[in-house]
Amino acid sequence: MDKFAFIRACREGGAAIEGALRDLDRTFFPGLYRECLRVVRDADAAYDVVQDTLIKIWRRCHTFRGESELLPWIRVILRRGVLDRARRSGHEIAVDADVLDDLLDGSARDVTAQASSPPEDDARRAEQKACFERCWRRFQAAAPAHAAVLSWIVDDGLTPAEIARLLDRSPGATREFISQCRKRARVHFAEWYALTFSTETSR
Amino acid sequence: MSDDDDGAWLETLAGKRAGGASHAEREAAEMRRAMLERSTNEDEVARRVADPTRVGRLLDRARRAGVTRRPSVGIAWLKSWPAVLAAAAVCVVAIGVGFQRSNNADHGLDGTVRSASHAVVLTADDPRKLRDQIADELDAAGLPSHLYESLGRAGIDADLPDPAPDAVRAVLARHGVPLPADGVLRIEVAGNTP
Repeated sequence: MDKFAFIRACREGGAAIEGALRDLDRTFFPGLYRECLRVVRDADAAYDVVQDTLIKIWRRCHTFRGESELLPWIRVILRRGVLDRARRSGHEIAVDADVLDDLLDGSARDVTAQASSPPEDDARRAEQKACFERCWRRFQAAAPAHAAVLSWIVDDGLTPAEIARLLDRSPGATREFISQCRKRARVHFAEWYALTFSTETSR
Repeated sequence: MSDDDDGAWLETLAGKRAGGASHAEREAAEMRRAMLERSTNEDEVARRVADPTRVGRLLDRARRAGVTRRPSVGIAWLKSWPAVLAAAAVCVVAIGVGFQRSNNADHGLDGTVRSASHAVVLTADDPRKLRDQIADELDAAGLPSHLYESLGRAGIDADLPDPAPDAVRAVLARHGVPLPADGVLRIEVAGNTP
């Protein structure tokens, strides 16, 4: 579905939206669901967020001016939905920055200061991958909003300004959020960091 | 961890800086590589994509949410230029009448203002932001709403069930919006004038 058809359906409303919803679902569901599944742990929850997004965009369709393509606009609504859900779930554990610093013991904090990553073989790479997946799940469970934003930074190269808009935070608060992302990741990925940055001799 | 350190970490993680020699860059480069190697559960994606009930469920949900029920008031007005001109004429008349009335008559006891279209008018620096926030709060309270833009205002239009749920009443109270007597909730947010 192109943006002009979307705007037309929005203007007509009613039954036109039903037809447009089918088109939108056919066009965008696979990509949106794949993206959501990467950042929302539970498949049913990811499905729910995508369907909620497809409905929410019709409540907001009058605010779409056609300045961008449809997909980026929909993705922002999807991402805000993911963040809202993370906040509402109460899973996001508020951790004071000082407490995070305490959690990061010296070895975890300086782990990259060790010698460069050791040569990889297939077995080691598989072990690292499995370890990363375990750590990622722990991170996602403890800090879903931080995990989601981290994932979008990697996928889309978000800038601090884009992150601020997504989070609806000031530049200063966004810098703090990014710092917390890093600190939290270090806590939850400690096992993976140790594996990744350990030297041959230290193993 | 300094701001510069976090900045280097972020840029490397975002793929805008090659993994350099600093700890932050090496840490981010490895994490980026690992995250890009993560695979999506394509079986799950394929299962949902092939699900023949998906669209039906979506449409049911959309109908329950009221998004397919009728066009919103704001957009219905904007369907044709004559309607826009008529709306403008009504506004001119409303403004004229408004000048003849005292301020007290335009303001409710609670300090909110009702427009000629019976919408409660709020003001904010960023009208769309406040409108979207109220809509999200109403949605979370179980009340679907339509959003519209009309004559420079960001509007919300919703039918309240009778009796209005406590959660919805709480949202309205939080924003200083009185409960409409006729069950038709219409809120418009205008920009703050300097």
